[in-house]
Amino acid sequence: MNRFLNIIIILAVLGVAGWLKMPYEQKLSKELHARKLVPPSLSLKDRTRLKQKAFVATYGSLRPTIAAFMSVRTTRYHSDQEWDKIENSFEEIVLLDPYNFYYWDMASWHMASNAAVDKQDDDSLTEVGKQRVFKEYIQKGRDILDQAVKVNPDEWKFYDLKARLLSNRYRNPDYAAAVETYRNILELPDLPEVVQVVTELKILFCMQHLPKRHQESYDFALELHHRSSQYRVPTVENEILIGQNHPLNKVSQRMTLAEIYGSDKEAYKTLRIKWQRRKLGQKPYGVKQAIEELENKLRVPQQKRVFPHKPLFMK
Amino acid sequence: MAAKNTESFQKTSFISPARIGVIAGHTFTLLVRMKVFYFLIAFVILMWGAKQFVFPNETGGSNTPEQELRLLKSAGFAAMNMFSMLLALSATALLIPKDIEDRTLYTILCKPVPRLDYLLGKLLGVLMLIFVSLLAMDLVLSLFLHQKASGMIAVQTEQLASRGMPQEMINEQLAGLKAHGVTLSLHFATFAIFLKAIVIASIALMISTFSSSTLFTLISTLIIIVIGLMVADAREYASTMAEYGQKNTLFNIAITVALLFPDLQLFAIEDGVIDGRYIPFKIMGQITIIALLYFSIYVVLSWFTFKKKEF
Repeated sequence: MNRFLNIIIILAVLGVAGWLKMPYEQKLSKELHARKLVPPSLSLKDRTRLKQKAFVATYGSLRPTIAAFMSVRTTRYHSDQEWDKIENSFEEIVLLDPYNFYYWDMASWHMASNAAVDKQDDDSLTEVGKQRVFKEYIQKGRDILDQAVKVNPDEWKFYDLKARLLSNRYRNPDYAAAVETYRNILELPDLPEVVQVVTELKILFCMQHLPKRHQESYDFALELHHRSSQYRVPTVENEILIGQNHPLNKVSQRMTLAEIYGSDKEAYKTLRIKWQRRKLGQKPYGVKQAIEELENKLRVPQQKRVFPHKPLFMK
Repeated sequence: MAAKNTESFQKTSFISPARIGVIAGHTFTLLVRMKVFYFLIAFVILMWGAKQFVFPNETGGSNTPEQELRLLKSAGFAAMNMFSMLLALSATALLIPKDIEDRTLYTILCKPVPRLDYLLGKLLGVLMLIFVSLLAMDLVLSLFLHQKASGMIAVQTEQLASRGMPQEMINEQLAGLKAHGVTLSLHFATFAIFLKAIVIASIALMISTFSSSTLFTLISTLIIIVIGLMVADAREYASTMAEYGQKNTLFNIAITVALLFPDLQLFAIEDGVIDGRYIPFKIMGQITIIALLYFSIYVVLSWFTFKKKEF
């Protein structure tokens, strides 16, 4: 009886103490979660999916260890081209270690690159079927990165990874979505300057692949060029030249080649490369004329010219 | 003579640090003699193995050196967690039964030693052992981590510079790697594991004061640990249900769990350190307060049941 009474008193004390400490603990717990110092809570669905691993992983620091060993095991699946097993494994891995960039990168890479391309060699599929499966796997890769961004909304690397896949020209690109994703990076607080600069350049690069956004792309390039010398790179310089020669663009400030590129020599060097890559991105308005003008101005030898003079009888 | 003894008892101060220290020292020596430190050899082998581990560098885009440092920390913290939990659980659960079996308890309690001093001394002895062990493990982990991280930083600096990457970008890349090396947060995480061990040991002590079997103490404490890891979820559920005004059976269970059990997830900050995050002093202070609060509650309750216990 005495022992029973003791237990009741103990429970009562624990209950009262628990009541008093609960608000403090709740506040602390929220802060720890906000700072990502403790692992996120697993939903009932996630726990069911992880089975026994969920129980083991609940105890501190075992989650990353289990995730690491599971990810190593996927190497074998990769060799055997077992994409479904890889997909399932990574679904569990990212649940166990959701803040780890590496696993999200690996998961999307396996789906959008390895599985998508591997299915192109699947003889059991028709050509239409191959295209469909190719797109499906790329979409799976994108879905994984959507989830990654949702779990890690304050980390630029995840947005960057997603945007890189969206703008990959071999992976059914969606440049408009890539631009929006890159813009999300710029909204993040405490962004390193170098990341901001590179992201803005990537936005411009993606815009150049959207023919309908020629004016926006030109205006943006002009703004970057005026903002700082950090932005005086071929992507920006070429866009200004092409933009001011675009027949539908409203040109606010026409610049000379030397003003855009710094010097005629630099302009010629950059534009030669642009001409070689003219099939990528936007239509190269004004590039040919600029090169011809510079070749004459700089007296480039005939054999080294992009557009050598042809004999009169061949014209 | 009896009157003199009674007078001596009355003169005995309630809590004597010196007396507690003697009992704690004795308990610590006793546990050390049980050769518990041999596990450190296993820990060094584990760390060496984890240090040799190389992640398959498949994507090229991701930073695999970071992953290797993460794995090293993760394996180290997992071993620390496991060891401290097992020791806190088993050593504390055995404290009183072993003293009864060896009849040491009778020798101590027939002297003018308040029972609270005895309990505190015993518990602090176990905690001293866990502290020394965790300190040793922290040193081993730091050593291996420093070796691996400094080697990686040197290689990465050279590689990135050879690619013509701007210094600012190199610094940005290396900052991530450095965050995974030996930092103050790494030691904070070890300390948080110790705080968790304090809570577990205190619970085991409390149960052992009214339990008649060691096995019962072990199993009950283990169950409390498991529930303790889910308290945060239970509290969250209860608070959400309360907001919606849905106070059903599940709400009652969740609120009971949240009130009676300790939230052990609060001490799991090593996961953040594995991710390379920084732990502020403020957070560390708050966690320490919570641990000391639990320690005080469980020790007082242990004393409450133990003070009238007859042997």
